[in-house]
Amino acid sequence: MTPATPTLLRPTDPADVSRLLAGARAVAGGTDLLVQRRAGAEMPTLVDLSGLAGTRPAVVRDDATGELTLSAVHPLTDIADGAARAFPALTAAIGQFASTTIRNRATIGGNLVTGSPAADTAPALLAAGAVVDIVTPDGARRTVDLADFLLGPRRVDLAVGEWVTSVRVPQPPAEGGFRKIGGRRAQAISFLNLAWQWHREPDGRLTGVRLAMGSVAPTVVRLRTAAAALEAQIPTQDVVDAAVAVIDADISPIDDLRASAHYRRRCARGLLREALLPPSPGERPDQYVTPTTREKNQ
Amino acid sequence: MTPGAHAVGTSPAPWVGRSRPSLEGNDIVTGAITYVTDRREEGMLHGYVLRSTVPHARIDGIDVSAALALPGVVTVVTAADVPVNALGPRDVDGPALADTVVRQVGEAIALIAATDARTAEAAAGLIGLDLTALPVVDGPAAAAAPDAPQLHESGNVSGAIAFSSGDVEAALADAHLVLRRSVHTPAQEHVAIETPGGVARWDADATSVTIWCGSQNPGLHQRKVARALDIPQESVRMIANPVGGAFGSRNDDPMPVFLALLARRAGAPVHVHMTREDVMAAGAKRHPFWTSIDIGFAADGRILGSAVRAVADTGPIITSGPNVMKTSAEMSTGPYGFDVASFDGTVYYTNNANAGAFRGYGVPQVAFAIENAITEAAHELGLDPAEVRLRNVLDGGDRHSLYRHRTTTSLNVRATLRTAVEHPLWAQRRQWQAGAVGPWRRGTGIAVAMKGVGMGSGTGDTARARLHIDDRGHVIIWAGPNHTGQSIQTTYGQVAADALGLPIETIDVRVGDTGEVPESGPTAASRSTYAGGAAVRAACDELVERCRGLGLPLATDAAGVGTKLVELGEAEVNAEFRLPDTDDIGIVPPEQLATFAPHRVYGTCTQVVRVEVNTLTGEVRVPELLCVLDCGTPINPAATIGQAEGGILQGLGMAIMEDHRVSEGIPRTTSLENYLVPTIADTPRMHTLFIEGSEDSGPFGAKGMSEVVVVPTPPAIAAAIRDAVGVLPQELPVTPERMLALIEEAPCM
Ligand SMILES: Cc1cc2nc3c(=O)[nH]c(=O)nc-3n(C[C@H](O)[C@H](O)[C@H](O)COP(=O)(O)OP(=O)(O)OC[C@H]3O[C@@H](n4cnc5c(N)ncnc54)[C@H](O)[C@@H]3O)c2cc1C
Repeated sequence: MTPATPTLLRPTDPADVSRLLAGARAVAGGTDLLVQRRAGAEMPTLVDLSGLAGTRPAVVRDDATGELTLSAVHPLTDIADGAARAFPALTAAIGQFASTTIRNRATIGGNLVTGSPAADTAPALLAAGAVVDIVTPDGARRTVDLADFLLGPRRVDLAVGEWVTSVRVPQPPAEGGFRKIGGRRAQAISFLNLAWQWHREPDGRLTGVRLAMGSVAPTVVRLRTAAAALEAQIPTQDVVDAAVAVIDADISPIDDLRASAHYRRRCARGLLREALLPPSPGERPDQYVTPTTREKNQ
Repeated sequence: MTPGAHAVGTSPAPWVGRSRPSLEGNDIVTGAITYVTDRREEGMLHGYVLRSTVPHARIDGIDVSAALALPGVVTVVTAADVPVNALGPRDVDGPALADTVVRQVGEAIALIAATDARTAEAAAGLIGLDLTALPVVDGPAAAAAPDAPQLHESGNVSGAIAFSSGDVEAALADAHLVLRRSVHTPAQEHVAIETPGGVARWDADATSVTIWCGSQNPGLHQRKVARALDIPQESVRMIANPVGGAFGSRNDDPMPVFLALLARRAGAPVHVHMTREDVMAAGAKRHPFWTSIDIGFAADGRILGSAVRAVADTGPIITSGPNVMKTSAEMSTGPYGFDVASFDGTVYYTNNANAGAFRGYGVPQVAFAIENAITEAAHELGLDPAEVRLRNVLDGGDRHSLYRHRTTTSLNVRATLRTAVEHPLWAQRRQWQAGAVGPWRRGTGIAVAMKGVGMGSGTGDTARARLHIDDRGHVIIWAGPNHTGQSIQTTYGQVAADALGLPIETIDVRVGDTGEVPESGPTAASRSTYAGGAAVRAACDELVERCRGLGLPLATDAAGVGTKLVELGEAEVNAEFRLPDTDDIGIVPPEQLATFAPHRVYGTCTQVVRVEVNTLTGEVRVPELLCVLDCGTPINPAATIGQAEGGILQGLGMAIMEDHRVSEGIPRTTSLENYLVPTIADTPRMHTLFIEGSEDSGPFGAKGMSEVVVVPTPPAIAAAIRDAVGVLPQELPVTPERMLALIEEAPCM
């Protein structure tokens, strides 16, 4: 049975958060925390960070450097609207994340702090070289690379009383994407996910190739070896085969209820192969047969 | 005109055949409806069910003293406190509460009532259980092993049914093509939105109990409660709605018994509401089946004979096990007519999840074997898969392939198939395939199904209705089967309005209350519209007849006529509809008619489905589906389409994602996070078409359809996968993992 939460504090000024967090726990969208609470986790006092969303924009782009600052406390829906074409992999990830209702609540902060190896925003952020901006209990700031922030399943580099205020990424290239494999087309924890980004040079070579994959290791991981095999190459059949062949070097999947390690290895290759297919005119919507006259009348 | 023979089409009826929103729809959508679990009573206590966390153990002791001592706890009920500790007349029906042994994770051991739900749950944690683990029977193979622990005195076989209409192997000897195949279909959870629960109130003066709890069979639950409490049946009142869904799960559910036991012991109203996790562990599932088929075809695609063998796992108690297998037996020849068939099915007890009634009731499992075989045969013989089916179809009035009994003339599989093949979804299948992009291959599949309506010949299946007209001319009709989410009362009202010729607003239909509604059997076997509707029709016809006899103008002066009838003591009508047996029972031994219970009336359905399969990841998508229904007159077309669409989604779930997994007797899919059912994003665009038709014995020509719609979906999806990537899945669900393995094992693209 869900334990009671006697106190919910709702700051609207970021300056108040650190003080309120003493002896309390942060909640943003609540889409992970409420599930934990229902499973019996005790949470005497919660500090709701969602009220801070009113104090700043979801996404800020530095015009000089192209760097994006993504709010950790805004709903993913707002992040996707704000980032849009500027960060195709993240926008795609949010498009495949849970469902509209969850996306209207869930935040990047919650997604990263949960420390799930299957977290769907993590691969795009990791591939983009994100840094995490943290506010310490005394109100100071520290910044840590996302790669160092993610420590293991349900473990992140965040001390008691600290909170995540934003995530920053250097300007992502125009080409990037994300794909997740789940047991169904919405509301599914990823069996596997992949984010990618690269520049496509005029001669067809890929540069700045960055790949990250989830649910194949204790944390979301970069596929550095496969990326190296693609770097500065034209993704011909041979190049793709070579990149796909070395995926195993960076992943260590396990068997669980959702999928076997064997499937994850096979599918990891499949996902990378799919990502490297020549850009198609774009996903066509499901093609429908128009109802017959008979159906319309009945 | 005889009842039921009302000519459809010749006199367009004002209500029958017109879509009518469900009467409670507005209240559901706005949240105003009070479901049984929303009910609150003055002085109500809160109950909790302590359940086993181990699959098989001897109970050496239960110590409730610490639980009873917890402030707020009012009572704790264990097996020793249950007057007659049984859920049915037979030992294999299982106890209400575990007494000497637990045989399943989730089995109820003790009931607690306390002043609040938190305390009741805390008290459960204080109950001391002295258990000795016993070896786990983890499936039919383990149950059948010579040295297997026996789960019941009668052994581990819960039921067996075998029948043969001739020498199948001899028939196969002449076949051009013989396929011998095995398929597996998973345990499936109903996932009714409302989990079981409700309220019971004990009346100490009258020694009677009133229970508000969902039920597909209020009369059966009334008898179960009376047995357990050892009180007369009349002292139990089941008020079994509104309920948020059933699909079979409110058939075998022991919750009404738990509520009644708690209320009596506590001497106060008690409320219980199961969590989803409890339902996942303890609720009955669709029987997992292992089905094999040997089937022979002539070169032109005609079926020469088939032998089907099925094994099912019913978990620790019998619930619907053998009855499900009985339905599997009858439907093991599919909607096809051929000369020689045999069936041999066995249901085993195990320490896995209990299995029970689930929409389709044993048919989806065997249909998957047959339809897959036909799909494969079409490819092997170089024939069109729809054409092979058309060449074998059972036509109305034909003899059934296994029992050789006579089917109803309204059976019209052929028309569903013909309509389906003319639809663009099938006709344009090559264009669909050619439009495939990237790693996504496309295919189209077709499958056909039939399912009996009602309990079958020899069972005496009967539904009843009671009608009363008052001095304002208003009519109340008490009828069954009960509403379990499909809003059957809306349909009964349409039948009554047309039969009586009265404004629909003046007719009040009441269902689901054993205090008022005559015994009408279960909301099951696709019988509610057909049987309940026919009973309503019969009651209305009798009133009309009575008025005619008395020279009273019912249609023009209902108030005057009502006043007169009340004066005369003639204002009430009781009627019943006994489902007709088959005219000719074929080769079924007459004394065993109820054992095999062949049907006279069947609903049928053809489905065409499009899929996309990702050859790199194994994902399967189902964007579009056509369902062509042979259900006689759709009394409420929108409700009928709703039934079709819901059934299709349950079939789709079974086909590509739903799998209640248990290993070593421990359920592994414990919540809706890891047991996946289709969401709206997985829902194909669905087209439902009705073919012209009318069942003479049904109300205004209607017959049942709400189970048959589940049946073709999995084999149609499998056939579409075959069309897309060249491999035919024989094991459900086709998860991405299974799909990718199949593609990699047999790369024939
Ligand atoms: C139905 C459903 C579907 C889901 N589907 C997906 C999916 O497709 N993909 C996916 O990745 N996840 C999914 N999830 C998990 C969850 O929605 C995500 O992890 C989400 O991003 C969590 O964000 P939140 O704001 O709701 O976090 P919360 O639940 O509010 O918090 C989660 C944790 O993070 C901490 N926290 C939150 N914000 C901060 C902060 N700014 N600083 C410090 N600590 C913080 C909280 O204290 C808590 O420990 C799903 C969950 C549900 C219920």
